[in-house]
Amino acid sequence: MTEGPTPPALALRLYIAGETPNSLQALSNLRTLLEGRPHRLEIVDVLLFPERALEEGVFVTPTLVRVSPEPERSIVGSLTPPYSVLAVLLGT
Amino acid sequence: MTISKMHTGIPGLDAITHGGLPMGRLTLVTGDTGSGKTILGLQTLVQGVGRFDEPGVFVSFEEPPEEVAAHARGFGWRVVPWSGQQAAPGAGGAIPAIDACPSPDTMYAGQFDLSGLLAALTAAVERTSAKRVVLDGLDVLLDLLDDPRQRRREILRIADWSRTSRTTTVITAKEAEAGGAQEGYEFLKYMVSSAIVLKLRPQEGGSERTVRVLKMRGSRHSSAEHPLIIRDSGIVIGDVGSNRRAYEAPAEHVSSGVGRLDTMLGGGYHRGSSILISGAPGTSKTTLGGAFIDAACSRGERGLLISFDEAFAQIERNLASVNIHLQRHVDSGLLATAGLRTGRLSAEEHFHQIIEMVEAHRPDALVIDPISALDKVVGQELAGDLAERLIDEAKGRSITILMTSLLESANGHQESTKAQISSIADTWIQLSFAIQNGERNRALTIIKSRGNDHSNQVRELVLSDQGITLVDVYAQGGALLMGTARLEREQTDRMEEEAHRREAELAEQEVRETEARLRARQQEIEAELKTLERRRQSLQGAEAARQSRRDEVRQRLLELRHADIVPSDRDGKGH
Repeated sequence: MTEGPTPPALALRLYIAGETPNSLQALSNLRTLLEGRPHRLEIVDVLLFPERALEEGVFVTPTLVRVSPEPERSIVGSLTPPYSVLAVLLGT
Repeated sequence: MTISKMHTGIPGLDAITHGGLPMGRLTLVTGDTGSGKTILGLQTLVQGVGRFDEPGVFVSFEEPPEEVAAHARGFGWRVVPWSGQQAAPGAGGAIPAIDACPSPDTMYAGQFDLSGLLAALTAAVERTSAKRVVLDGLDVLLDLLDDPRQRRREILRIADWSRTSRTTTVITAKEAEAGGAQEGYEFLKYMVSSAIVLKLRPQEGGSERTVRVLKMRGSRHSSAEHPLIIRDSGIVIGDVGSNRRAYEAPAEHVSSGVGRLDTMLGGGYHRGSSILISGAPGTSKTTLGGAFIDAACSRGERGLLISFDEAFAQIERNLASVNIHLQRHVDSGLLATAGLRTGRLSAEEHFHQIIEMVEAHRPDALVIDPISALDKVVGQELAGDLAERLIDEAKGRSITILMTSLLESANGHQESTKAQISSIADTWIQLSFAIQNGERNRALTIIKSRGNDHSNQVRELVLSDQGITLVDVYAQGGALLMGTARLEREQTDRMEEEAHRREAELAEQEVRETEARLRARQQEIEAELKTLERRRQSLQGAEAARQSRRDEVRQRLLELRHADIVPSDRDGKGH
């Protein structure tokens, strides 16, 4: 409600599968979207950390998860076109 | 390259797939909703961990694991939702179920693939040492891929994963609706090592399920549609013997040892087929078994009689009272007998014990009396499996196998062994008692006889020191008549018959007499007519004579008078 100098913290996690075209595309699109926005981004390669795919229930890649602010939201795919996901990424 | 098989442990499925599913390969199970796909998947895993020491993992794309677990509980199977703390190899036989249902809140933007699934599977298999994986309702996930080419690519990747991880993988998916716009997963069938199609057909008073093996790479399989029955213990597939016969020459008949039963069966049992004779205690199941083995040995064939909890000497004595003498076949070496004690041994040990005896004696005819004795010892489930395997072994050796099954309860339909064997057996004969006028009589019904045009009628089984006979049963106002009631009926019939015969005789006599009378009268009339004719002729003759005489006289008179020459003279001159 209050106009503050610091916007809500944006924390994201992107699950990718190695350097597959979809994963690279998602990463590149995400970078474009996040330009100029303060954020935290964790990248999880499921090929390197299959346990995390299992425990965190990620069965399709790439998958982008907005960890914060709540509620948690998921976007699956290469994030194409980038602006189409903006509302979900920044919305409530 | 030969592909080894993984036993599913589902009764009948291993028979129609000739050994199970291709090991370390991908099998696709498609079917309508409610056709039993999920149960088939779960049962494969439950059997894997319980019987073959092969842990498994269930991945659910459609139903939350909690619901799958609840469903599984209905069959007595333990399924637990996957958790990070999952104990190693299926603790306590429980099957871990991974929740892979896509969340409805997820947004889709652009292309994606199933790398996450393969990574998760790799981790799960590593953690549990799983040898079997079921991906239940994978179509739900594949539907999210809108490009058919992409779907194919993902399936190929799962097939690759299955091979490299040496995990036998089952994918279940909904069958494409007939005429639907959706392409469905028809293409999947061409990409997997084996494909099985389940069907659900609504029927009067329930629904009928079937299973058909569409393809089984590197192995023969039954191409027929087999009934799939879902019981309290899971899936059972019936009619598994039928496909084998399709490869064989038309079976020869062998006598049942009871002449009229052979007639009812359209010639006898088929050689190498399986026969189940079920009935309450005292309905002569053993006697029919004895008659069959006696007939075989009398033809010079080899027989093996295995009885449970009854000594051969006792059986011999009982059979001798109905004129079946087995001792002579034992003496000639054609018949081997064994009285086995149930108890102590496991189902597996019983099985091997019997197979050893079969190997040693190499019989043409095998009687097991009663197979139901194993129910109490190893449980109905295992006893049913054992019976099924025995039938399989017998068929493989072209042995005609006859098993008797005791029905303890009046409504024997609940007997699981019987239900299971009866669906597998080629011929099923049911013996029962019919109580009438305070008298118990044995009735025999052929419930089914595969490949035979058999009689559906009920016959009364009559035992005497002459042997076994089947007699017609009288239907009177819809009720069956047996025993004394039948005899009475026969007597009445005979008397009626006699009366009819007499009546007919009398009638015939009357006709004969009348005919004779009429003929006599006819002769009389003819004689009168003849007399009449003679009189007429004589009268006519007399008249003719009279006339001719009169003419003659007139002529003479005219001559005497000279009259007619100049009749006018008479008036002109004369005086």
